[in-house]
Amino acid sequence: MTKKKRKKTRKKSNKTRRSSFYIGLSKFIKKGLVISLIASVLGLFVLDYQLASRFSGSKWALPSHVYSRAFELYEGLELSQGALVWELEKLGYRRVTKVSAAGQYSLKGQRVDVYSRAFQFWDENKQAQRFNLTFKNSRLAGLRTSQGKPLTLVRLEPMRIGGIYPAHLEDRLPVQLEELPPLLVESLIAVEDRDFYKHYGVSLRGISRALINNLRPGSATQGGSTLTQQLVKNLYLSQDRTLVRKGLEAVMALMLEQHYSKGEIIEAYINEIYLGQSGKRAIHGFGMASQHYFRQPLAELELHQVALLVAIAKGASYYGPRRNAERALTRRNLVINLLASQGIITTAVAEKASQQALDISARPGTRTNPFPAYLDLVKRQLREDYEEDDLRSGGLRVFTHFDPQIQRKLEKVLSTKLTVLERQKGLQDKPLEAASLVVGVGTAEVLAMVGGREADFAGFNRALDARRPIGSTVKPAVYLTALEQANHYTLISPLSDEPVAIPAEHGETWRPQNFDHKSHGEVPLFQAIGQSYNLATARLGMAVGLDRVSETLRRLGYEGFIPKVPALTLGAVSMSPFDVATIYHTIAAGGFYSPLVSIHSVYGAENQPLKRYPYRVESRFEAGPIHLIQYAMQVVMREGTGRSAYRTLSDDVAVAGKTGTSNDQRDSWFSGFGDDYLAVVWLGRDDNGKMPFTGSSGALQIWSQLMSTLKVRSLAFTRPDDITYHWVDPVQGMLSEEGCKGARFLPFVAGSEPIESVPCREKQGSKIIDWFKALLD
Amino acid sequence: MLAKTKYLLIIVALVVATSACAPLQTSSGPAAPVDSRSAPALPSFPGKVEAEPVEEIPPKKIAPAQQVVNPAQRAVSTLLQEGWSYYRAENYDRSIAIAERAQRLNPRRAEVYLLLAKSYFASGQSQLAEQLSQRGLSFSQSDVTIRRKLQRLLVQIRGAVL
Repeated sequence: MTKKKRKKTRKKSNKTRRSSFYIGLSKFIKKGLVISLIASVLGLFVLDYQLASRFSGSKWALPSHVYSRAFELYEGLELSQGALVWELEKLGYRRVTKVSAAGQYSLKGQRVDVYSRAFQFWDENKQAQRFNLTFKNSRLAGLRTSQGKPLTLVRLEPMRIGGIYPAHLEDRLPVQLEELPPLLVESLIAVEDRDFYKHYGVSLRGISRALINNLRPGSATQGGSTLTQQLVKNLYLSQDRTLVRKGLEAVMALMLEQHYSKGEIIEAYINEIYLGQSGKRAIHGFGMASQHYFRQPLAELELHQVALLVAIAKGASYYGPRRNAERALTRRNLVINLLASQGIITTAVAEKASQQALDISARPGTRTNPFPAYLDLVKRQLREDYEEDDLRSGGLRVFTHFDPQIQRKLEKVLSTKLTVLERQKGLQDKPLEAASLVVGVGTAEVLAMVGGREADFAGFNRALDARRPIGSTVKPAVYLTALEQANHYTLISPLSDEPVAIPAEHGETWRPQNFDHKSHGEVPLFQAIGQSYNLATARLGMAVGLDRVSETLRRLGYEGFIPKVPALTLGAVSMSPFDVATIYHTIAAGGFYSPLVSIHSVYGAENQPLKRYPYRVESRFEAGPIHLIQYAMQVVMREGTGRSAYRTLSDDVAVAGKTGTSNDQRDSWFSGFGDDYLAVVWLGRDDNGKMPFTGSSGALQIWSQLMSTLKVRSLAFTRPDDITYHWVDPVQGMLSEEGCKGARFLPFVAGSEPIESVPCREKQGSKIIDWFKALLD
Repeated sequence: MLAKTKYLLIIVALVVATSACAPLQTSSGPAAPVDSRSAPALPSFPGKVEAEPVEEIPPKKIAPAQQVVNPAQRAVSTLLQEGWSYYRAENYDRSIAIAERAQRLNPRRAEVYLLLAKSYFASGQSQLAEQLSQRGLSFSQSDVTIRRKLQRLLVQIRGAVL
């Protein structure tokens, strides 16, 4: 009994325990459910907030795009028809038989018809415009509207020359719905998500259709994801194919559809999707893809081009038209046929579009960094005003002074001439390095730059970073220092070119030598610089003082380290080609210093003007001494170390410049200018090795070829008010007369000319008189 | 008599022909230097070491250049007109941008710097305006009106600064 009772009691207590366990469990589950429900709701709220905040804000780290100058066209401009067509092709204009839309051009003999694109310039909102140009003798002879009215000035939109990319190297050119070409949205929906306008983010019909299709033997795998799901996956989730990720994708797609319109979602999709690869750079969005494949703005694309981009969207590498042309063509035509079968286009239109070739540009329209040296300069100048993050992800549009026409000439001259020079000296196995830049005289705008012999290789930028001894290139600064003291020095001041020993640092003695190891006695100042005599220059530099020479270099615009040693007078100061261009520009610009600039203006991601980089100028030298040094630098070119330039340049073109060779011919420099362009060329070796070239036999040869190719204008050598010209005998240092033997017409700062006259020896022209007499006799 | 007339005619014809070949000389600018073709490329100095002979290249004059008409002259004038209208409307940002566009086409046109200097002065940047006026003056030799305007502006700027 007791046992039974005990058993019963045990059973009862077991039951009670079990029931209390179940109660506890159910309570726990309930609690758990409530907690997980609350957590899920909270999680959804957080997810929703995150989703909305990212979608509403800037969705992507947008690269900054860098553009060239705008090409200005006016009658009389030195421009060949070929050069204009090159520019139009680079801008992605399509050649047609008759222009009918923006972004097209046609050719007829010497005439070019252009339908330019609309563009928002800093100072003008330019509309698309139809005009025609006629050419004669490599000049723009006529510029008229399509109705035949004369036009004074037309400018083409700037060319995209590179970008500053986010760390992940996604390149994107966002577009808005209004900018899309006809049928892009329709094609995307027809191909990717037929029920886009009917579903709420997830399409059950789409999933079942995909399931049925996938079960069919032999049919291609079809995804059931809507465009919204694809966008969610690309924007927020990983590419894993897990159920959790799929579930999350569906939930987020539903949320996104709750917050945003179909238009906003499709616009985001169009800008997000991955559409190709250019080297390490990923091409995202239809805007950039249009530039990449067709070199055209998206809005200009025709049906067959739109269909190709939609075809690529299915799988950018699988259907990439540059690698898999046939596959891409088949897929493109499938897209076109789908549009016809859904009644979006007629069969006739579909047939016509299907017959079109792929129509892609031979080379990608958007190279990652085709002009690395120039872009490097742009980035450095931008960093003075913008944070790195803004540059890499702020979607800035940077307009520069880069001139693609000049750049292409510079690159071509440098590579061909360098090869010729190396071949002459048998250096094919030990090639040289080179750097060069071209600057607009007066505006101080850097127009072109090459940082190494492989111009498109983004490596060490020698134009900015190779600081090398400039040799005799420094001499204009030494002579300018002297010529500023008009009461002490004129162009005919006699300078001794006798050997000299100058006490240097650490008790050493500096004994400079001339290049030919000879001394030339006493020479007039203009000949000393013209022939680049070292002994005369060292003496002059020491006479005017190292402090003054150094100060002149500062005033010319050089901001780097200047060693105040006697050898400074012969160029023992290391500068980059950019530094040399800066100091020479001050001379070319009549003594007015302007910092060399590459950027014109910067616009924000929404195309709002942010900052303009205006022209800056500062008077640093009087016009008189600058005129004298420009004269002396012309002597260099006509009679001195630069005279071989006239084997290439026309005799009518006056240019001024100076050669430079560092010790043991490790650096070959030339810097000079005409009226419109200034260029610096440096040749050397990265290991600072010797070369068989001087400034004259190396860099000058490239410089003169470049200037000839650029058709540099003759120096506008205008006489300042305080300069007077006199016939002088430089040998005697006295006034002479026109026609007297040895007489030379030279400029002087008024009052510094000689007073005494030399008796005139042997009149010129006597031969003519003799000949005339003989004829008469 | 006839022979004498013929003789005189030959003389006149030859004089005309030789003078036509001579370089033109304007009254405003100094004449081009004439280098003696028979003279050595480098002058020698009595008792001094002779210079290394240089490659024979026909000597070419180095002389101040005459004013050359810039092919963009008409385009620049149009731009300047536009720029001045923005200046009058006190839209200096725009007048500066247009003046710089004109400067790019012809950096030697003094009026470009007048427009730039006036725009900067009006927008309170006197120092830059002064420098630009000076730059303009360096190009204003052939344009008396612009020169006077630049000089007047310079006086005005300096007066304002003082």
